[in-house]
Amino acid sequence: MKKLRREPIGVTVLCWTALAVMTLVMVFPLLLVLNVSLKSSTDFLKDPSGLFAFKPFKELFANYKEAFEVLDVFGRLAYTVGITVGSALISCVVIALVAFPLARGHFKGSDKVFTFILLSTFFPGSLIANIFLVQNLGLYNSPFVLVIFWGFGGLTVYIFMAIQFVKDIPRDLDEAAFIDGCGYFRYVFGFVIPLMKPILSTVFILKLVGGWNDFLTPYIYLIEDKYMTISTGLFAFKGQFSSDWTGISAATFTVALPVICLYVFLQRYIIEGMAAGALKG
Amino acid sequence: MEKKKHSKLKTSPLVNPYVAILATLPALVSIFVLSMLPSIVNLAISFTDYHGVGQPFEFVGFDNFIRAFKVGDASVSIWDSLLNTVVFSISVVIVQQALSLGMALVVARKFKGRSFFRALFFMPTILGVSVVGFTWQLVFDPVSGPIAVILTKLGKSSALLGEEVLSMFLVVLVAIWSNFGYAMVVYIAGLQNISEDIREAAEIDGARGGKMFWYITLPLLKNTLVINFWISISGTLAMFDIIFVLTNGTANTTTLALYIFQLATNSASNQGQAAALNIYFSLFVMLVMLVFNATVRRKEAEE
Amino acid sequence: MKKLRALILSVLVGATVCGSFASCGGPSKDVLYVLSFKPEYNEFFEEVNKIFLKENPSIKSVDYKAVDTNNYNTVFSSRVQSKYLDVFTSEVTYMMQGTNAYMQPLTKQDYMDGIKAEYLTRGSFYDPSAGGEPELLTLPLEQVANVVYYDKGLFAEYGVEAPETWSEFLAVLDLFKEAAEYPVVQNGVALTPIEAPIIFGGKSEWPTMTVLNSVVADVVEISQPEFFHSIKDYDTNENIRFNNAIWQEAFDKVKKIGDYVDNKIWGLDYSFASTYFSIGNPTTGKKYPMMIDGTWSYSQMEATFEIGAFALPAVENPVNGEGKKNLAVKTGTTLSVFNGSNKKTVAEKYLEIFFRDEVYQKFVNFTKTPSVKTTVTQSDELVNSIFDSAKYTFVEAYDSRMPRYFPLPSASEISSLMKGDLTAKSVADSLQQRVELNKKDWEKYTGLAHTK
Repeated sequence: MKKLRREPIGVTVLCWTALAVMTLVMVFPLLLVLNVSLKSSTDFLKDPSGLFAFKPFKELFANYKEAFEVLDVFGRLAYTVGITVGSALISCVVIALVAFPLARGHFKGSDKVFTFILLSTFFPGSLIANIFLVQNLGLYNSPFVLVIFWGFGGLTVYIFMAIQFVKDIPRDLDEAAFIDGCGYFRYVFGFVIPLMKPILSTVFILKLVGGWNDFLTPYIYLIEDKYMTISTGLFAFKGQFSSDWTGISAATFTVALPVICLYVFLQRYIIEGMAAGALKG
Repeated sequence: MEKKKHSKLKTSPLVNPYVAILATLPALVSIFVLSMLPSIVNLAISFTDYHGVGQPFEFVGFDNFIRAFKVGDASVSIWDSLLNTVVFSISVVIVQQALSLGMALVVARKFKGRSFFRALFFMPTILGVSVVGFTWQLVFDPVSGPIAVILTKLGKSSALLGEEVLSMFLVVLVAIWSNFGYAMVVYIAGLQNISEDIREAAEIDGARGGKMFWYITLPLLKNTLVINFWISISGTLAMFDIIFVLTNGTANTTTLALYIFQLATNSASNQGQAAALNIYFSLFVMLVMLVFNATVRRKEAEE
Repeated sequence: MKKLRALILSVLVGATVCGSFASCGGPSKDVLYVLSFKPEYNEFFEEVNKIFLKENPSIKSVDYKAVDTNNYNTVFSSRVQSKYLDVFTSEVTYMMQGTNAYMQPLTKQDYMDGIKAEYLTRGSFYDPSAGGEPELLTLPLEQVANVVYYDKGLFAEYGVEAPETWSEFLAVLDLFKEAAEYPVVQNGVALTPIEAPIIFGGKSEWPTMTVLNSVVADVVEISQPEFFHSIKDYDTNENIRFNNAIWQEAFDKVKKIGDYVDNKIWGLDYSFASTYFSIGNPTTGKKYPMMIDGTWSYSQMEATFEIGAFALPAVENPVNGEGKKNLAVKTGTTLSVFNGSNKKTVAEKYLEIFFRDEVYQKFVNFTKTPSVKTTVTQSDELVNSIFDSAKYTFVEAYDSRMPRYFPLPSASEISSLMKGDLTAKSVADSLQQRVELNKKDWEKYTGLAHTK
């Protein structure tokens, strides 16, 4: 029978204090941004620290109107989500496709290939070389560059994890399928990938968040504004409106809000996915 | 009757090896093009004084490698940035791990609302570096930010992100703020893996609070600790985007990774020099990770 | 269900891949790509864009982008490599430092007749080692100077005048520094509280170069007027050294000025400096009497007080060989056509619009810079008093007159110097060391000029 243990009052108080303090630390900066974004420039300069004044709706959200226009939030958000989701999916597919043959040793020399991949961990990438290659191959102004870096890059670690995972899937399953005449790729897409869901969902989420966070890649490689992701758009926004905290705050909050909303709905999956990935590694 | 394919590569009668190889190709090509090729190209560039596409450049041998250690060519010397990197990484890793482990212990307890707190503390990780950067720039504005207001009321003033020592401290703070949620979540998962029975058994034996933590929980968390430290160390060494957004690379906060980034994206600068620095940096990171792995292995062997 | 999932997956992946290839076609023939590092001039550029589109129906739109100084290099490099560029802003300094490789030589056309000859000269580039003739590569829109702005009202209130010598300058600085710590009460009335004597955008680091330029314009130019002209004789002339007594004096004075700067500004982005100069510190309500900056920011200031400006006097007797004072200037924003553009002739029409009298007059009124055209005049009193050739000899600012690849003190170094973290001697010595170290690189470029 499980005993319901009561922890000492002191510990409870300590814990709740810690939670309160940390909550404040987490939330305060964002509330600050919200507060500043609702002030007009002149208001802010008169009284930077006070609460925003209640004003008619149009005036209050004037900064947001400008931010929305300049950032083109909805379009850019859709584009960013599209590219990051697409890249994440590509990562999953590529990883599954390589993990299966290597884990099963479906061709002679597959262990040599495995060593090859292992060896590649000793080759650190290089931003300079990437820029050099992209420029000399003429891949400018193309979201393809983003897909390449995000979808096909940094997969080595996950490949190893995936191979381990596939080894846990019983061989009889494949053999039965192949005897039945199931095509190789059809089998991978139809059976292996669903069975690899835990590891692949981790990869998916990590790649998704990674692409979202990476505002420098579009900044360096892409030319036209319309191809910038929303994180880059925000970064570039400051360049244009550099001395106006109220404008910048509105833009920041505009970018943060959809993310927070999506997060609120998906947080369980995101958190569990990322934790599981780390633990399995 | 199926035709048997005779192939030197065949390992299983059911599988066409060529199809299998085809499946591995996307990954192999990616790895070659995105990991190996750039490293080789980087090595090549480091022996030249490449300035940008279309500009004439020449082979300069080991010049770039030697120059890296002489008087700093541009805004930050390699020694300064190396020092900053070490200070930054050590501070972030230690404080972040301590904080996330501490909060994990608090949040992992059974109480109402714990998933809310878990989600709240994890949120900064997904906000995006630009959002985090600008938010904290506003907080740290030395004239009109909230900290400035408080300082003024106390009769003091500070340049915050412009101060020599304080700027590094603040940058570390923001780096921890935006990433500790991830480590915390991993610790929580690790804690949850420790079965209740072990705890109860320990309690019956008289273990309480601190003792319970030190002798039971911590050893059982060892794997999680190793993973978190590994991710934290390797991530922090390479981290520069948050510093870039906060300070745009002032002398006191520029880490080696940021310095290399600045050189790489400034077309007028000597890219060969940046490539050489990149090689030094990669060697440094590899060294650190090797030491880490060796330490972990030694500790494991001791047990 | 499985089929549906597979379908969705392949559509998404396919769409990503196809969409990615969408723009691999290079720069459009009917879009004009304009890149500028002057976000402050956005309004003006937008007007020019409208005129341009009306007069050039072959162009459907103008892709105009303004990037702040800090990130300009990155964006410019990728634009140049990818050729998504037609017109861009630059400076004479950049042209001499290598950007000339990307500038399309401009043929002398009618619209240039109104431009003063000296500006056309400065916008020209000549490489003696390559032979040939000087080429006009970039058209200057303005000239800028490094000045110290001051609040005339505050100065009058505290009974001081614009300083004319170094010691007078120090006296004014000391007075305000004291007033910041011990508020002054005169005849029972408290004078306007002072936050600190000087403000400028310290976190961006490059504004410290304006201080260095102003100091060097007096300390080096007056004591050793031939210094900069003799760089090419470096090997034979032992007086051409960057750690001699003169240069140490210059760095010492820069450091001294750093003592009077509000300590907070080292965390302040450049873009906020002129705002806080104009309205004071919003948190404390105290004011800044002086700001060291360039005339490029004058048009953005919305001050409630009358703004004055003087050239920073860095020596006791700031009078040069011509009997005038020195003012550190440089040719400010210039316009060029990208030589890799796929629509050069059309791009040049964009430049032409800028220099039409009615358009340029608007520019000069908007930006408050001295006019480069003979047919257009600047009417702002303050600007004209600064760019008064009877009062000042215009000397080229230090950081823009060095040969290509010549090491300069970095902005970070000068910031550290001003903050008190470095000594003048260490900065001077390290500069000299770098000059020696890089001699192979810069020696080849000492001959570059504007004319033969």
